[in-house]
Amino acid sequence: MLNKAWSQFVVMGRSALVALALSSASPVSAQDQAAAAKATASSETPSSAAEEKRAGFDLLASIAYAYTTTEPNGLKLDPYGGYFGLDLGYTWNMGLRVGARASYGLGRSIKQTYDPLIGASVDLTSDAQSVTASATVGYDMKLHILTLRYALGIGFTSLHWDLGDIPYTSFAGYSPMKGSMFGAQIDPGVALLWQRGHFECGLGLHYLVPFTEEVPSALVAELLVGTRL
Amino acid sequence: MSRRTLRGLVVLVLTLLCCAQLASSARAETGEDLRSPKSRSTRFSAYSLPKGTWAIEAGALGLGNDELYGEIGGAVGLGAGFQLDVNLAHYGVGLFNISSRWNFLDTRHVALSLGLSFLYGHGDWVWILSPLAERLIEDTDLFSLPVNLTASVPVTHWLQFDLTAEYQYAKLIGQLGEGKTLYADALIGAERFVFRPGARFFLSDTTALELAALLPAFTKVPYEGTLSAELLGRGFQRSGEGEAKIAFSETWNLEVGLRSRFTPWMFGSFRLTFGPLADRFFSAPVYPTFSLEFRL
Repeated sequence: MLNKAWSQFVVMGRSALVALALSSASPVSAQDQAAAAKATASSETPSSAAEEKRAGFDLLASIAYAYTTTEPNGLKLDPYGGYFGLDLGYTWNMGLRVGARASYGLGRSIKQTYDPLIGASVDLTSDAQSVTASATVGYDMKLHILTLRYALGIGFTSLHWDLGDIPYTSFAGYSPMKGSMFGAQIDPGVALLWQRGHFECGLGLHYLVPFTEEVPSALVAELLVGTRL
Repeated sequence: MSRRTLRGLVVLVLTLLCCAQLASSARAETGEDLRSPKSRSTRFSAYSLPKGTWAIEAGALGLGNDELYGEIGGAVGLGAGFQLDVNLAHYGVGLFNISSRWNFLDTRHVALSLGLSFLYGHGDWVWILSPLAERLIEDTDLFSLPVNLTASVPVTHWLQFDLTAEYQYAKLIGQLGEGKTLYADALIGAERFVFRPGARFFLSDTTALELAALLPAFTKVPYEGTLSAELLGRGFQRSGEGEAKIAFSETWNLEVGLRSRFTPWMFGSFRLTFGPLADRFFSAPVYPTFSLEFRL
């Protein structure tokens, strides 16, 4: 397994090397030097020219896997798993971006034996799904040919759970055994995007930090594809 | 070392060299980068703020001594390499702190600094914990005194290594808990000596990838007095003097993060921390931290 992971890393490294070599080769062309000289002569810095291209709306669709990192009250509950979403935002020239994103987590069923602090252990299967929505504020930065986007989301998660037919009215903080609840959350993260014309795509990483103990935290790794409007 | 491993390492090194070339060309355009005195990070590095420069930082979900759970901090460069820091967010929950640093050597190839911090907390003033925990510590006083020596070594334009050696002494004085479940009328201390190696890859003139580890050489909890605890029929009682050792496997952590300069005076960072400390404080094996810093 380690060998497989390592060979994947080697392939990724090679791809990154080729991409970086190509990107580092292009700026030294005579055309680019002339363009840079022109920009300097017209008292407009290259960075401000690049910033002008930032302004506008963008819409991104995400396909992600969310790794649940906490076990509320010791119960294994995964309301995320396969995770799909949309992210719409507006970016100003200075790089500030304000947006909103919504995602749906397919969740998964987990068979487990729950050991309460007091009392006998219980065999059960937990099943859960989630809907997450956040307002986001972020900042876009140029990172060579890519855009690095920092973002902080503030919103809520709607959690739906089903603990099966166990004979309890309240279990590990969940009541009833099939129900739903809302929990506020923050979700900081970063994304690395490649933009060309109206097309953009990239990879993102963000972390769901709910304020409600019954809603699990999750690390979300996502593939982003979208358009600049 | 297998041939495949060697090939992988060569690819990794070449990739980083490409980053370096791109970073140095980007820096040449602006003449300013994240390694310049006004912009460089003082977190886990030997550098201090230039004289008269203020740094205001707001962050959340941190795990370090100075940023645990959150930070609304202020720092000021006093000149001659001296810097003072306070975390006002911790003041807000009853933990009074101040940190100082002296960057006594700052050359092109190496920088060294000495740091000294002080923290005092009175249990009755700490309001952020659960009611049970608040009741447990209400008659206690906490003192903490970390001392550290940090070296920063900029190896190339795109790579910097940092290493901190820190000794922390803390003491909890007073009566902890009440009743038979948990009771301690004792002096409980905590001593630890940690190494914190780190590396920063300057990916461009405005963004750095930062890696750091917390590697404790030892963590001890000496006590003197009477301690007793009981839960589910299992009891523990000690009187006199003693010392508990906390294993390395319970106290290390690793972090990886990005720090960027959004504008010449505004910086942002996002980090992920892995390890048992994240688990201990946030009940998760990996946890995020984010912050925004303004330099004025």
